[in-house]
Amino acid sequence: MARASIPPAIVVRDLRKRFVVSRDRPESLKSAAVQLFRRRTHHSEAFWALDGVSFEVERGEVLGLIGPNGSGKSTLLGLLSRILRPTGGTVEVCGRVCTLLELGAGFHPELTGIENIYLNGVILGLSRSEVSERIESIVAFAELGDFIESPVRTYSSGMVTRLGFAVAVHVEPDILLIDEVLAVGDERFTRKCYAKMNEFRADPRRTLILVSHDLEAVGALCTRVMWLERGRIVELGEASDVLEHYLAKHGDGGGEHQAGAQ
Amino acid sequence: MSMREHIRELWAARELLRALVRRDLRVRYRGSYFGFAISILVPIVQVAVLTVVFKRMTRFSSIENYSAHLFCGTLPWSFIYLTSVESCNCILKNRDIVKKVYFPREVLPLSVMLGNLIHLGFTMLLFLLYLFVVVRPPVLWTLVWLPVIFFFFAALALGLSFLFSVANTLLRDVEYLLSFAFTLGFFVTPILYPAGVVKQNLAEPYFTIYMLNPVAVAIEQTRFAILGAGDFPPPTSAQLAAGAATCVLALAAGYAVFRRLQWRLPELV
Repeated sequence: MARASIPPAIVVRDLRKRFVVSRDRPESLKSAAVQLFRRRTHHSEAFWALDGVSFEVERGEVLGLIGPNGSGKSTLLGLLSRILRPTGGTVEVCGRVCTLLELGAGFHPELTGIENIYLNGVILGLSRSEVSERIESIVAFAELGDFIESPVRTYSSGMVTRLGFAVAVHVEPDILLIDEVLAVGDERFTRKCYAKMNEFRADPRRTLILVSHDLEAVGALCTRVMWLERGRIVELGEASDVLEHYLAKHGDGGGEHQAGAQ
Repeated sequence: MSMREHIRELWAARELLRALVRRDLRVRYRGSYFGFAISILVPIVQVAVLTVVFKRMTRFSSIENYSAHLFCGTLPWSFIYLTSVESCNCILKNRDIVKKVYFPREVLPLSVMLGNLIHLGFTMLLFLLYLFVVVRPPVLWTLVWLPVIFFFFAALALGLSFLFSVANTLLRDVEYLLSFAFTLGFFVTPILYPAGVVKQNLAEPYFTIYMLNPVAVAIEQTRFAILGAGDFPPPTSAQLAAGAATCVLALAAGYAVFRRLQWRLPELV
């Protein structure tokens, strides 16, 4: 098939997402009952987390998402992974999407490392037999030794991190979404993670979207960068250009965007 | 998304469902060293205590094989109770993955119900084994009723599971009210006593209303299926039909609520 006929991995058209924050939504039956007898006052505020965003991502691309806190980056990832439903506009995603979990999410402390690999693999969209095919490689990547047969509650946080990343990188989705989870583990393991990411990046079928406040990492990994602010795209283009303009506006390094890293 | 696409998506999520059920059962049976023994001992101790107290102190002592009557009541009751209570926290407990990974959310309440259904089947099997090997009452053809009863009973449990999983995520004190409701329900459901006793002491139309409780019908029919009619008549066809209809209705209603609210779950947890 000619390359030109391959459809883009992601097509987003005029995507909008509104959140309604209701300050007096009852949070318990008790307060709901009390409210029944009170005069209704409406204290809800709506804000647009995303306000008309359109873009396409080609297969094999590595797209970085940058922007200050509250600019809509995580909302966009939520919409791409279908966790959130758009208020308006469309998202078309072609292929299997996998979100790299916050590390340790989805693990059960009472289950062993092996059992958790199966559980987490299936949560991330693999079938049981697909996990079985990868199990040796995952165990080797995690470097947990005999601990792999012990319950995860006995692990140090570094070990949980390694196990989580080991599963995630072996899911081999068509589209991988990463939300600020790279800066973990010791230096050797971080290098290993970057090596795995580069491997992923080198594969022309796979698409990567990376949200990060670590502009250096974004610059090193991404081919294109999208700069979001208040739910709108400020700039979308070559990584070096966008980063340069972004730094010019927000200062380099120690600004608010660094301090607020989730 | 069309209903057909959604069903296909649910089918695709069966491996996830199996993994979650497996996780819950593993943790339940292994939670502590004696996890498995405890999960079997709890219903036995419960029945032993109830037998001693009620057989010795009340006129139920005339009922032949009172412990077996109790098991027919406590095992299904525990199933519906545990499913409801565990459903309350099934979304919150899995908030890490609910917030980050897309999968049909139905899988979570469904896994709670299935895990408890497997546990019910398991304890029921042990009970029947004990009954027919040690006590040796006549084996009745009515035993074929059991899968039918549990099918409708599971539908009811699933409906409640759908309902309570979103209700308690929205209003966090639902689970406390639920425990209270189940404590009361234990006494107004024919668990400690057969429904026949209620019939003798309760005028119409109150007994008809009493038997509109689908759990009451299920328990009475379970007794009839395992132990035979005994001194009291089994549920009438009208009661059975009403009970089955209530179960199906509960499932439909619970699912409708769940589908309406499921999109708000990632924001709420």
